[in-house]
Amino acid sequence: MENSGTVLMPGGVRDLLPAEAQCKRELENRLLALFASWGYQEVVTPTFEYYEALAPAMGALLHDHLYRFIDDRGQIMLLRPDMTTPIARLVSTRLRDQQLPQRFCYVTNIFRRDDQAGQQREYYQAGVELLGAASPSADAEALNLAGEALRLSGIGEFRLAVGQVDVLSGVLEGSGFSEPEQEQAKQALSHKDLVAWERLVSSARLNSASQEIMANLPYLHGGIEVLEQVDGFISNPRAQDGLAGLRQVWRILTDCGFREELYIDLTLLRGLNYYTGIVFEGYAPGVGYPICGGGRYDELLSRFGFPCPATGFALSIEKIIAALEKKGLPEDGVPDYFLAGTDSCQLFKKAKALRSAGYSVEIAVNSLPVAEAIAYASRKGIPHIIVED
Amino acid sequence: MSQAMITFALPKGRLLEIARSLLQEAGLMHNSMDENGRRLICVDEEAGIRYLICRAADVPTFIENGAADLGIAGKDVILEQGKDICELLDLQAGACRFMVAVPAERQQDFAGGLSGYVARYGQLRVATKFPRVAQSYLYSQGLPGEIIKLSGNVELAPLVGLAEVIIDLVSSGRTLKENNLVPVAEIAGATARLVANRVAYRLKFERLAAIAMAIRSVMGRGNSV
Repeated sequence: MENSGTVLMPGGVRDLLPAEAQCKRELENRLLALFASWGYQEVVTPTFEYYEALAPAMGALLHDHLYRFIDDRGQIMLLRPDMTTPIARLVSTRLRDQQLPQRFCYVTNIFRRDDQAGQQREYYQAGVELLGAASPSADAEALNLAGEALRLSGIGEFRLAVGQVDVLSGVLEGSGFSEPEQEQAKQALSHKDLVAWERLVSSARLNSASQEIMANLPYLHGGIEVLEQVDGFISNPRAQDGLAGLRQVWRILTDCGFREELYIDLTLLRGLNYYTGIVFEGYAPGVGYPICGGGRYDELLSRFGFPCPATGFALSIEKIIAALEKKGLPEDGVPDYFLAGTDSCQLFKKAKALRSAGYSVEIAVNSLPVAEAIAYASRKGIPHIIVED
Repeated sequence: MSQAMITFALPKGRLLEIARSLLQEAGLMHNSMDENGRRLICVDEEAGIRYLICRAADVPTFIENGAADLGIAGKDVILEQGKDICELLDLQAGACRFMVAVPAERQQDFAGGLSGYVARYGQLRVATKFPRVAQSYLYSQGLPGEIIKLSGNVELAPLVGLAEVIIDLVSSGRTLKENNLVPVAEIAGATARLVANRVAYRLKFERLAAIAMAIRSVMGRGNSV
């Protein structure tokens, strides 16, 4: 085959060259070490599984972006579009007799289809799942760990928005929206369509106090004190529990030193009918998409026949790298030593000694004249060059 | 201005004039922008805003990716593209409507609506520049149909037998009339919207909210069309 140095690649997938691959690997290693220090164990699940086994448990949002294919036996398969569903499958089948709670983490690629040609289709994520705990402490742990992970990632400034879907439901119900209006309200908020929101608020039959506060709801950003503006609306017990939980989570996190990074946004929804309690999203300046997202999903495991509360989050590795790249990518890795010479046995021995002393070493494997070998190594910027006779 | 620049995407074409006069009146645009329209980036130091001039249909793309924090886009473009962006404000300007239209001489075939037509003739071909809007309209009406995507002059399609109906954006209705087409159903209205990137909306919330407020305060003062 004739090859002029280019081959076709499908749109939406990419190569990572050394500097970026190194950046990714180091980030992933640091994240895994952090997760391990919180008691999370890494799991690996298959890249593809039976469509029938996973898809029914997935929310509509993932459904629309699934990659499906038919294998050689005619079975429909899917490429995993996230890691939460496979881990839920794993826990509710093979690990259902294990003591709860269970803590798992992962670093992996996932696949999502998009209508638009050339859009990103392979994504890298790192994340955790905390299964079998419904308490505010579990929510606080997930949020705290997400915050620690973002701090550790080295992106600098970031914000975490925190919402609570039961509290939002309670506020909508208590402020006087009819049931269909509550649905429309959630729809508008999940699309971040504040025009539709405003219309709904002014057309609904709310009393003037409700109307004023509801009109302002999407703009209600801030510390825990913003909840005081709405807690008068909340009467249903589920929402009251949610509110108490949210306050406790806030206390734990602010005690742990998160304050500037954190704010409440009750209109944060992250899709409909998937999350069941606290939800959160992380943002970094200069990156147009969230770098992190997660929350409580107590219904998912019951779709695998194993009712079990759960919470977790995923970090977007490439979005974090994008934030890091704004601050400059590291140089390509350069070894500490370059060894050249005629006696290969000598070179390998010498290299071994240096490596066991902790240095990285490159051996000249092209039989170049000494002068050229030295020129090569200095062009590459290798600090120590040794030529053995 | 000590704060970081806000990047604001403006649509070329019919909405540009509306956007410009709103922004100038709101004190958000001080220089009158390049007259010959060749410069694509225009920095207003005083307002702390960097304006980009984009194709109208590209504004949601700039916004979704975070290449611009704020923008002005027609609801028609927003509906058609289904991008993940925040809609902050209805500017109540540049109003037009998505309409279903048919040739006047075939109007009586559509007396029972589109469903009546489909029940009788079996097939419905829809020519449009907005396949997504058209498709979701057909879905919502439970109608079978074939969407024929065109890039412009959609009015031609039913005249030459390429489609039975068109779905298009109508403002005055003059183009329809000139091509002897009549509207048979309205799908949705569309006005210009102030839109924001979903991350900028959360990270630069105070700035964006203040800009939205300034624009809102001068809306409807009569200069918007």
